[in-house]
Amino acid sequence: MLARLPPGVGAALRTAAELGQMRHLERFLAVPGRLAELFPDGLARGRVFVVRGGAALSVAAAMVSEATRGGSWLAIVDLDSVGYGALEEAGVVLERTVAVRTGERGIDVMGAVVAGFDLVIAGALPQCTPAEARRFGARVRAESCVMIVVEGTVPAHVGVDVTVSCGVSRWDFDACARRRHVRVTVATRGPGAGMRSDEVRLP
Amino acid sequence: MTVIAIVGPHPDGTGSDGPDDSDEAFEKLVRAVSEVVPLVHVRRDKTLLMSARGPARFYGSLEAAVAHLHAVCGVASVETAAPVSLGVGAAASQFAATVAAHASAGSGSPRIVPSAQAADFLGTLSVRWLALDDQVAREAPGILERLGLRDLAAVRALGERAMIDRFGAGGARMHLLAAGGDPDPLVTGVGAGPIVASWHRAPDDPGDWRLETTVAATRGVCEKMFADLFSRGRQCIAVRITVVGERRVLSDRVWHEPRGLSAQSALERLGRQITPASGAAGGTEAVPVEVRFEAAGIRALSGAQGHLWERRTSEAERVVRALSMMRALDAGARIAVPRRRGARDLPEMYRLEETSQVGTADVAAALVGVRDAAGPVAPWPGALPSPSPATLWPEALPAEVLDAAGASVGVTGRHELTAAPAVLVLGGAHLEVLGHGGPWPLEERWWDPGRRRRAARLQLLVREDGDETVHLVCLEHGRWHAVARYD
Repeated sequence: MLARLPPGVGAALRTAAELGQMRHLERFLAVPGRLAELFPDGLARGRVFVVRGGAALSVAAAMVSEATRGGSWLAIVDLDSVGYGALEEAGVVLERTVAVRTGERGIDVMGAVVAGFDLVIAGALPQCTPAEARRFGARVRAESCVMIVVEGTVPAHVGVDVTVSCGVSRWDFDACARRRHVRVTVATRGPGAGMRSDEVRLP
Repeated sequence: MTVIAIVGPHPDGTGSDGPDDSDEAFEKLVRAVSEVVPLVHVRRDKTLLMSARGPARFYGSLEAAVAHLHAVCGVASVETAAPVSLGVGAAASQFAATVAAHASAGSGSPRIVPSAQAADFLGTLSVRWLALDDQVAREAPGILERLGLRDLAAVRALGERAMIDRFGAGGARMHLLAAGGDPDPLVTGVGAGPIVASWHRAPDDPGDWRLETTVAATRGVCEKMFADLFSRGRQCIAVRITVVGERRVLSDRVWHEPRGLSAQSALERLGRQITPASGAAGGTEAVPVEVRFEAAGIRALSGAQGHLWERRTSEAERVVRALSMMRALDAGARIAVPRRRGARDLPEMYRLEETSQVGTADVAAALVGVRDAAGPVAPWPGALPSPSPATLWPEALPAEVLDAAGASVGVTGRHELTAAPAVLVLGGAHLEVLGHGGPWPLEERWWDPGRRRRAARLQLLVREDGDETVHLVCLEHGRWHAVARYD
């Protein structure tokens, strides 16, 4: 990420507080308040997230909403069935959302996507060889992208950092569907490893 | 106020995408002009602007002042490696003076537009000249031409109200420019801007006046000023930087940057102001004892300026680069932007607009233009209540909705269910219905027998693998289909 700073900034004198803020912005994207228990620092950049369970797409939308408001761009890859109304209600800024369908060279196209977008939500990662998968995983880390796979499969060699599991949903249903409460568990591997769980209200 | 404009060593006035205001030949010109005129405004497109009052008084008349400046520009131009044509113009508004300066660059002699002739001078100009103003939208002159408005007299005649209707605030600005007005008058007096930050050298400071030390010493006050502006939702688009020495003002300039300045970019400009001219004697007289930053132009914060490093513009650029890379890698890849439009039926509410038929520049325009094109959309009568389903099946799935006795549930002509739904059959599974919402009728084009559509939609809360799920089902032509899932 430092490589993207304009010339001169790196050498400039900065106060400790500003440096701290810069480092935080470089490493994390903000999440909405209702997910603060699950992601106290925000979404770590350069990580692969997998979201599973009945409310997976809604939870993924909630995860990215605050960052799109903050100016980050979101790519929705190979998810033809996504309801954009639900994304908008979750707070996602559609002006900075782009839908992408990969063609035959799926993993290469995905590589270009993670280079350009802070946030990527994909239905599944394309089939590829172990070497391609490793290269893709390294690219996500190098480009500081937040890569979220919803429900779909992730080739073993990409390396999943964070698994978000949506437990049993409970709906407030009165003449029509109102809102839902979902038990969400976040399991992180590697640095900052641990398990967090909270009941989240959607949307 | 009469304004003098000098168009610098790039005569085409390409605006904000042109080379920035930092090259050496240009710096030489600014220094030469600053010797004559105390306060010079530097615009990003290398136009210099200044109030004519001081120079006209000093040289006796406006004509004499302009002639002198033209001579100064000639000298500065010859001194540079590649002599270029510089133009000097004077008129009652900044815009008119800039146009006059461009005319002067072409003819080789200074051009003064007297106030009485200003209306005629501007009126005959093509609307293309409006592009000289860095706040006018790039596509606006083309739109004006397509509307049949070829010259500025036509824009003026159309009236401000009509221009605002079509272009919003930008329309008012274009009308004002065409009418010879100044949307943002030049700052002239000292301390005219409300937001000032100044740094004073301590009296016992030993006088180590190296460039870096001065910039570093002023960084604190400058950053605080910009942070204050930012916290109030404002951005600075012009900063006046005054450097005061022991006995005199060393340098006083206003830097304009339509995309917004940050503390860092203001400090870089300060660096250019206090760098000693090559060959000039430094000495203690040139030691800055006071540096003053003043926000000479302020506007509401737009997305164009990121807080710390103007990061947001580069975000959009990064996206466009990635998309063109993607397209180069695989011609089969599809790119689309979601657009909201008024519709009652879910799949039609948001349309994905493909951008694969167009070039990268159009992708950028499409991405940026989404909000403008969509506009506010009022809730559509008969639309489904919020929340919306997160998954819309690309193809509706066959389903059955049964009552407690196992008979199919229907909808009457008055949009009422014939029985309470008890079971949803979907993909071979029998799911227990815990609750239902609706039905919401959908009647479209009832006046057209060939294309009319009549359907009823129902929300079903079901138990599925011990979990609660809500499905949206639709009854059309006597058959139920699942169209979406709230997941």
